[in-house]
Amino acid sequence: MFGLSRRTLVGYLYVAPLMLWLALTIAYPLLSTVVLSLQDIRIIGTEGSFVGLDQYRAIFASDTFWSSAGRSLIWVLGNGLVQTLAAFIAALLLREAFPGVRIARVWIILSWIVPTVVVVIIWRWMLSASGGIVNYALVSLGVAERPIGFFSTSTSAFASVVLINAWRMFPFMTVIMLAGLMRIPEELYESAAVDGANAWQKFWYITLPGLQPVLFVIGLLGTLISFNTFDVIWLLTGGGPAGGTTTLPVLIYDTAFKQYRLSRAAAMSVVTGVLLLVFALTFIRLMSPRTDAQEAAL
Amino acid sequence: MAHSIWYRPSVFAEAGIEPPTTWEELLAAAEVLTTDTQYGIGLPANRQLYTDQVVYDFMVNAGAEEIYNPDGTLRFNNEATIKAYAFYSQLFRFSPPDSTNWTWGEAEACFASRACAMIPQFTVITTYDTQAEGDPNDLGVIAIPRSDAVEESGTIAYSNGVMLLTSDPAKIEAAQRFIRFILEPENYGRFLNMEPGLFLPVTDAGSKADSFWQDPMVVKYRSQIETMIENSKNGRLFGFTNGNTFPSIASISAQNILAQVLQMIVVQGMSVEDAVEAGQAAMEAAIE
Amino acid sequence: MKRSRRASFVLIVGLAALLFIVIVPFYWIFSSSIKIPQEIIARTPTLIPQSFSLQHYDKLMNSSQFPVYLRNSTLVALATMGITLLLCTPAAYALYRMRLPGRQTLFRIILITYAFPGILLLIPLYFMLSSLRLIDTLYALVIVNVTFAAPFAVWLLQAFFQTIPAEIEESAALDGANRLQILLRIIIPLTAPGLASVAIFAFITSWTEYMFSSVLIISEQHRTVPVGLAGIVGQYQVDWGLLLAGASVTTLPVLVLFALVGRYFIAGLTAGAVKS
Repeated sequence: MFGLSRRTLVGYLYVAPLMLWLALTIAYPLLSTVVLSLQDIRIIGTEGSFVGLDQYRAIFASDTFWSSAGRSLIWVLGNGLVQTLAAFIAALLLREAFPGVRIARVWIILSWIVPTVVVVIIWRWMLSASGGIVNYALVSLGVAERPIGFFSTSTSAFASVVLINAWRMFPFMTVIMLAGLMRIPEELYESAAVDGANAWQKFWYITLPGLQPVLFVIGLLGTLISFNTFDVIWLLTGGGPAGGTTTLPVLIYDTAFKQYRLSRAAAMSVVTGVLLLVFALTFIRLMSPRTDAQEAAL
Repeated sequence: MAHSIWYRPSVFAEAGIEPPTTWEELLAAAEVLTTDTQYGIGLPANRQLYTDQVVYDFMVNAGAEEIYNPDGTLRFNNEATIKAYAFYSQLFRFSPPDSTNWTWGEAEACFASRACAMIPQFTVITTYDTQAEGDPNDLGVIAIPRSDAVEESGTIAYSNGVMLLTSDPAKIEAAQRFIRFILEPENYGRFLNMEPGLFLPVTDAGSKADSFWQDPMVVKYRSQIETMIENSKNGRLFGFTNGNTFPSIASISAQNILAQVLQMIVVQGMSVEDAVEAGQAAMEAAIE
Repeated sequence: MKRSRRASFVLIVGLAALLFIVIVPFYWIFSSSIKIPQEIIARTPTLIPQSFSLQHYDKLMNSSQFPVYLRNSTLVALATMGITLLLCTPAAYALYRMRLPGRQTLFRIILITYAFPGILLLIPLYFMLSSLRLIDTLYALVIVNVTFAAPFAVWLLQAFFQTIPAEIEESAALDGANRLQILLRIIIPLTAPGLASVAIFAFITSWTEYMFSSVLIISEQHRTVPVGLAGIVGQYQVDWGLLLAGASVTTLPVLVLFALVGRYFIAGLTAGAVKS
């Protein structure tokens, strides 16, 4: 039938439901975003008229959009740095053999699997300036004279949210990083030791190149996942104070469901999507490792 | 529902001060009450409805209760509004550093744990009774202090109206019958006391109803609730002042522009005049 | 390799720090959720509870809307889990074991959708579900959750499907079994751990989802746990005891599921990470 074997046809039949589902819930909505962004719908259920590129002009002229884009960039970089570092250290520790290591390698993921709202409750409560245990500890130990308002200024709120998000996400990165570390053959280190290499040289010439494939995964997926963070920020600070934690996802949500400018938010989504696509393609072109493992998988 | 200032008489007595009635006295009290382990007053500065409400408390008491002119144009940017924000930002120095991220509950928790000496709030009775010491003799309530621009202390107040979103006569009839039932004095008190102290009676018969005053929590905190009812009589609500109704207040309220203006001042360090001007511009954009 | 004394010391300190960072916050919310209210907000925190009370749990389960949220979240999570398994098992089988022409392209498409930022779909999905009259229904949440769980699930299954020796399938085929029979009788039992980890992943994805639920659900009776709990934070009173009890109860199902099949999940994640 159509030159395809029955076997191949059955194969496509097995993949078809999933592909159809993704097409209907991702591809079709994406196209409809573009249509929405060319109108001036404010609230759902109202008719919008076609306004061409007006929404895009408004966005390109708006300081809020570009400052939020800048914040998203800092957000992604900050998260990437903190998470990669924390995950690397944790993975180095968990690579060692010690009693209970098998349990530790599984349960390290704990903070990643609990609902974000629980993460938010935990940290809002622990960081409170009136009665939070972190401030109590800081004041009792004499580190701080008076309780610190972790969310009181734009900068400190931003840093606090980055750290809280990193706390939630680094275990996921740790598992991937550990997988990468375990693939590096022990013999390489042993022979390097025979050749008199120091710890830094071992790291630079063995560990880092060995980790390249997983660093690629972390760099690409991690960036996109970090970029997409909404609930942690929204529930901790609502994008404030004074817009200091408003990244693009927060701005899009706020524009659509607080300011009731759905078409404007749709246009922001389109611009954001294009920016992310450019990032992803550039990243893949520049950083893609060509390893046997990758070819074997694909 | 209406805001009042809540405090502990024992804390005031120890500091040797009287409950404030004017802005000067309030500022002095907040300063005296700020110690190593206590903030003078808990004031919200989050981009949130609670902040809108407390900002409006001070606007009412500065004579800036009107956000709109009678013709529906905005008059937010005026001297009285500036005065209110200027005072708020002065007072804010005595508020906990994380109050830029507060909702109603955090203010109550701050008061309950004795970390805040005063807070402006609808009520703290339930929290105070269940989570703090629950001593009715040590819970004080006063009207929001006023500036010299007004004769009498005012407050934000919600006199929750009823909206009927139907044109079906049978449903309208049923709704009316239900509301009549709720407002019967023997039912009304039970309805209000879903949250004792928060919902105050809006009908004369209701304010005298046994069903309201016999609730154990209301019996225990009777004097506080009487004061709250008294304070609520001079209540205002943005967008619904002096017999006018401006539906576009919904857009201003949804974006919490009153709170945003406060954040420009206390978080971003903008001058009060510039912030209020930016606020009026934001309101104009919101209602366009 | 023997460790030097110094290396052992560094390892112990490092592991202690890691344990502290990951576990202590959870200990702190759970241990506080069984304290009486006055102790929870006391000026001097108590590391070991000095009082014991289940009043917050009692209030949570008997006089709040939490049981309703719990029911909704459970229904949505179970449906998400079921549909994800139904969609992904045959797809993974075809992709990883049938040498399908173009399977690399299909695999890449699925991988891209995994990292696809949900925020870009929020507005169009809101419109789409609204025109299907699915706003404020649990179906809307199931549809969205499956979309975000399925791609990663396919990725996870890779490791489990590729470890099955081809001979097993071939001998079954010689005995006259067709593809569907092979899938049902041989592949599914052999990949049970993989399917279990996909199931918990789908469950957890759904259980945790906040953004779409906050927009697509309007009425109280259809609210899920994350939105419901977040709503309690924003109410007129913050009852920390109630919130901490709510956070503990919300975490519990995830912990139980993870205790059962967590190691397979980690194994799948690990294998996927080094292969893609």
